[in-house]
Amino acid sequence: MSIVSTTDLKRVYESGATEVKAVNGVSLSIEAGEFAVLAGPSGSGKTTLLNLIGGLDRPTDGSVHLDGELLNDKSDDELTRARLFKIGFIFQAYNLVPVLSAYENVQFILQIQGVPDSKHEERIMPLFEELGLSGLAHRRPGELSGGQQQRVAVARAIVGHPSIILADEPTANLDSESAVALLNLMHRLNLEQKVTFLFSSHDKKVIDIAQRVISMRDGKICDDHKKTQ
Amino acid sequence: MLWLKLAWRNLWRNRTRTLVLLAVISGSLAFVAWMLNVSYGSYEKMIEDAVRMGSGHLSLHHPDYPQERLSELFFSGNEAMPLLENRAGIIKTLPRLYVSALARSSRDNRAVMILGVDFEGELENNPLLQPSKTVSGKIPASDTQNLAYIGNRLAENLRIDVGKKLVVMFQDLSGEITSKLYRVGGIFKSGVNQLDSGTIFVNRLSLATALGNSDALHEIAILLADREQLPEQLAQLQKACAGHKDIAVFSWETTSKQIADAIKMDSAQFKFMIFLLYVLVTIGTINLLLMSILERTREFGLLRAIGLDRRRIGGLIFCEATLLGIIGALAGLVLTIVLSLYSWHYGLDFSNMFGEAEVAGMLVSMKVNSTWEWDWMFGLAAGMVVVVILAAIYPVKKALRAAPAEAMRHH
Ligand SMILES: Nc1ncnc2c1ncn2[C@@H]1O[C@H](COP(=O)(O)OP(=O)(O)O)[C@@H](O)[C@H]1O
Ligand SMILES: [Mg+2]
Repeated sequence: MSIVSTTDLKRVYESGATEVKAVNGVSLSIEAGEFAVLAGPSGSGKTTLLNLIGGLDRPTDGSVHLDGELLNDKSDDELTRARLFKIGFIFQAYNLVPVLSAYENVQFILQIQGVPDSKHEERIMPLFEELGLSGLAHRRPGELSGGQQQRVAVARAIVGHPSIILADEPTANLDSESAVALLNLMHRLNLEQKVTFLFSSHDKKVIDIAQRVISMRDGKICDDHKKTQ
Repeated sequence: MLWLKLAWRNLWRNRTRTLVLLAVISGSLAFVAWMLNVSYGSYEKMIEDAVRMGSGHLSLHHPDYPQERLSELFFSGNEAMPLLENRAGIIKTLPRLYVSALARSSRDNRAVMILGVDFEGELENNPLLQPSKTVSGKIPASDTQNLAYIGNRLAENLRIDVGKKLVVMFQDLSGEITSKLYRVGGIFKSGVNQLDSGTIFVNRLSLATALGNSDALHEIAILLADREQLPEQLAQLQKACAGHKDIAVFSWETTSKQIADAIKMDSAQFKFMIFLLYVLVTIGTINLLLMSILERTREFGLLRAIGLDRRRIGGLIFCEATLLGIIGALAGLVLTIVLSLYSWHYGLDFSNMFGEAEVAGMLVSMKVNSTWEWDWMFGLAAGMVVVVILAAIYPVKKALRAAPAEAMRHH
C-alpha cells in the first residue's frame, strides 16, 4: 500500500486579479521505504506540494491520501494530529525552538505524543549517537552549526516513528559538503530503519543520492524515474 | 515540566521587554496597594480625629438632638452615666453641652457656640484642646468655673485678650434670656475658621448651672478602644438605652456624616483610579505580548507543523502570561510591603505640603501612618494576575490566526 497518494492535486493561489497555479494536477504515489526527491527549479511548486501532502495546506482540487486516509475531509485538529503521529517535517531553516536544547527539541515531540518520560532517553540517545549528536545534546540551536541543526531536525522528525518524513530543501542553507553528509545520513536511516523519505531539492549533488527522482516544472510532474541499484 | 521550562525561557527571550513589563505590573500594583494603605491610614486618622473632636465613635443624645441641635433637647447625665459604666471596650466618656449664644466684650459682639466640657478629660483626647494649639494663656483647669478658652479670631473680633472679661447671652432651658460672665483663660488657633472665629470652651458645670439644670447634657461622646467593635457596642448600647425615652445612641457615621461622606467619596475616587490604572496595565501588557508573539509567528507555524494544536499553543502563551502575572504580582507585593513598612513605622508627613487640613469643618492632622489592608493587597495582586492573563487573549487569537503554511513563509 502506498504511504502517500495524490490524485489530480491542484493548489491555486489568488493574489488580486492574477491566479498562480502552484500545483497543477499532480498524481503521485510514494511507497513505503522509498527515498524520493522532488527536483525542480525555484517556483516549480515543490514546497506547495509538500505542504499539501503534509496537511499544512488544503488543496483547491484533487485529493491526498496518507496511510490510506483521505486528508481532505479532516478538520484542522485532525490534521494536526496526523502531522504529530504520521509525519516528520524538516524545513529549510529555523527548524528548532531556539530556547530549547537539541535534546529538548527532540523530546518535545515525545512529550506531545504522550510518550512516558521514562522512555524519552532510550528513544533519543541512540538516535543522537547514530546522527553524531551525542556530545551536543545540551547545546541550544544557536550554539550549533547549520549542519548540526539540520541533523537535530532529522532526529526530531524521526523520533516519533512517523510513516513518512517530508523534508523541504533540507540542505539549501548548507555548504555542499555538509549537504551531501546530511543526505547520506538520511539515506542510511532509510536503508537501515526503513524510514520513508520525500524531500525536495534543486541541488544536483543531492538529487543524485535519491533512489527516485520526481521532477517538477510549473506545478506539474514532468519526469518520474527510479534508479536501478 | 518541559512546557513550564519552555514558557519560562520564552519569557526571557527579550529580557528588556520582560523587565519593562514586570516593572509596569509590579510598579502599578505597588503604587495602588501602597496608596491604599496610606489612604486607609489617613481615613483612620481622619475618623479618629473627627471622632475625638466631634462626638466620639458612639454618642448619646436626646433622640432628636442630632437633627435639630436645639438647646432644650437635653438629657439627664445622672440617668445616662450608669448606662456606660463598667463596659469593656469603652475607654473614655466625654459629657458635653452645646449652647448658641451672643458673646460680648466691652468693644464688640459676635454669635458663638459655647461648648461646656470637662477640660481634663478633653485634654487627653480632643486634638483641639491641646497645648500646642494654644497661642496665649492656657487651657483652663477642670475646677475653674469662670475661665473661657476661645478662638483667636473671635478674640481679635471682640478685641479682647487673656484675662479680659467676656459676657455670653443665651436662652436658658426654660426659655428665659440669661447671661454669664467669663474671663478669657486662653486663646487657641486651630486653623479651622469656623472654630477659631466662633467657638468658646467653658466649664460644663458652670454652663449647665446657667442653663438652669446642672444635670443637663446634650452629648456624651464615647471613645472605643477599637473601632472594629463599633457595631457590637452600638447594638449593646441601643439595648441599654431602650427604656430611656430621652436617650438614644448614635454612631460617628451619623454624627460626623460629612466626614463619612468625604471618605466614601475619596475611596470611590480611589477605586476609579485603580480601575484606570488596571486598564492601562492591560493595554500595555497586550501591546508587549502582541509584539513578542508577532516576532514568533514563524515559530508558532513550526510548532503547528510538527503537531501542536491550537489548544496547546494557546496554553503555552497563557502559561507565559500567567508566569509574568505571578512574578509581577509577587514583586509588586514585596514592593508594597517595603513601602508600607516605612509609612507604617515612620508615617508620612504631608503637613509640609498641605498644613493641617480642614475636612468638613474638622481639623485633620496630616501626619499619616499607613495601615495594612491585607485583603486589598492580596485582592489587588490577584486582580493583577487576572488582568495579565486576560491581556493574553487577543495576542493568542492573533498567534493562532495564520495557517501553519502561511506562518512558515514568514521571516
Ligand atoms: N502564499 C502564496 N501566495 C501566492 N503565491 C504563492 C504562495 N506560495 C507560493 N506561491 C507561488 O506558487 C508558486 C510555487 O511556489 P513554491 O511551492 O514555493 O515553489 P518551490 O518550493 O518549488 O520554489 C510560485 O510561483 C510562488 O510564487
Ligand atoms: Mg520551496
